[in-house]
Amino acid sequence: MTKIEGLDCILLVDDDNATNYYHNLVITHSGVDTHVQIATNAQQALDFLKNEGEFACKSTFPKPGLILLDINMPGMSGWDFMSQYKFLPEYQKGKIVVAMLTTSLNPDDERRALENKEIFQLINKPLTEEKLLETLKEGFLK
Amino acid sequence: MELKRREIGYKTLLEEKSKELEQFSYIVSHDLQTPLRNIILFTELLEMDGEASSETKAEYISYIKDSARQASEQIKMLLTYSRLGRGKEIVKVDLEEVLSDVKVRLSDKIGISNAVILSDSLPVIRCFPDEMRELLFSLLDNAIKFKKIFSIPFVRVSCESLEEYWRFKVSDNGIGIDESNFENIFLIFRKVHHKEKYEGAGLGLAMAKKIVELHDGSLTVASELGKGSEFIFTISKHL
Repeated sequence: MTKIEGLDCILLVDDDNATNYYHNLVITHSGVDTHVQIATNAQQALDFLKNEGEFACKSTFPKPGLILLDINMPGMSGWDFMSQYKFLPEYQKGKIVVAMLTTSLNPDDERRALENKEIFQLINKPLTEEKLLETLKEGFLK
Repeated sequence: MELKRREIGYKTLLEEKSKELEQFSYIVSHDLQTPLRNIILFTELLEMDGEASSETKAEYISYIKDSARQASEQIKMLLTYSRLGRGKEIVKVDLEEVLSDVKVRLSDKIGISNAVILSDSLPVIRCFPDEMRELLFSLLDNAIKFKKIFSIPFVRVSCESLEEYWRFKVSDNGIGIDESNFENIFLIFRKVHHKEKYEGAGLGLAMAKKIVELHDGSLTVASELGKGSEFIFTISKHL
């Protein structure tokens, strides 16, 4: 198991349970030592970051170093999440690297992601060990 | 509609339609990708993860099955959607009868939620009968489904006779829709509410919109979050 400085937790945000399950397997198998938190919608993910809602009485869990964010979700989309995330105070963001996951590399999404400074990368689904390690290398080890 | 068509011109209309089609194929291919990708991924896992316990394997298999069902469901919905109005005839239909049919179909949901449905007396109009039934069903179904917690759904159906059109309104006292979603709700497979809370496949309003357009009309929404929604549609009198 490899421990990466600043990466105590990875937050997976996707409405599709099978995808979350699979991405969790990829992370485990990659040998990166980290907690994995799953949120099935964007609001839950924001609550986790802000210690609100169902996470209101917990204050000790690790802040995520990396958020893997799906774009297409019912309710709040990945873009809606980013527009709220922007307003979080720095201490709630911590050292967070946001990578967005897409199904098809849609040129519109690509352009929007490039324009948004807080989005570190756009990853084409599915997440693989190589893509994960590459993102971690770029985001944490450089 | 004829007037409007002449106004904006066929070129604009064509551009609009082709944009719609592009959006449609993007959404459809995107949404079908998800279950198919899952099937591939979990099948690969089964092939390669030789040490997996039988429980783990059963879990993989259940994801494969669910995904296949999901894909099949979506394909069925697409077929239903694309077949709307095809090979059908426009006939005289008593909307009072249509509404009572719809209420019968919804009787379980009306019973459980104690929903109150009030309606103006509805006219006899020329339309596609099955499609019109589907349209009213999906608007009323939504009006009941998206009710506020601890409240009784109150649904009102009204009808106005204008020179060129019939104008109908279906309004409710439900949770309402955020203005940012006024367009999204009419896209196929698009759901603007979390799926844990509200079941449904994201087909109803896309079908409703297409049905209204088959009748040379338009479907729009007015809504305020927490107050309720109003769906307004027109049906041409020259069909």
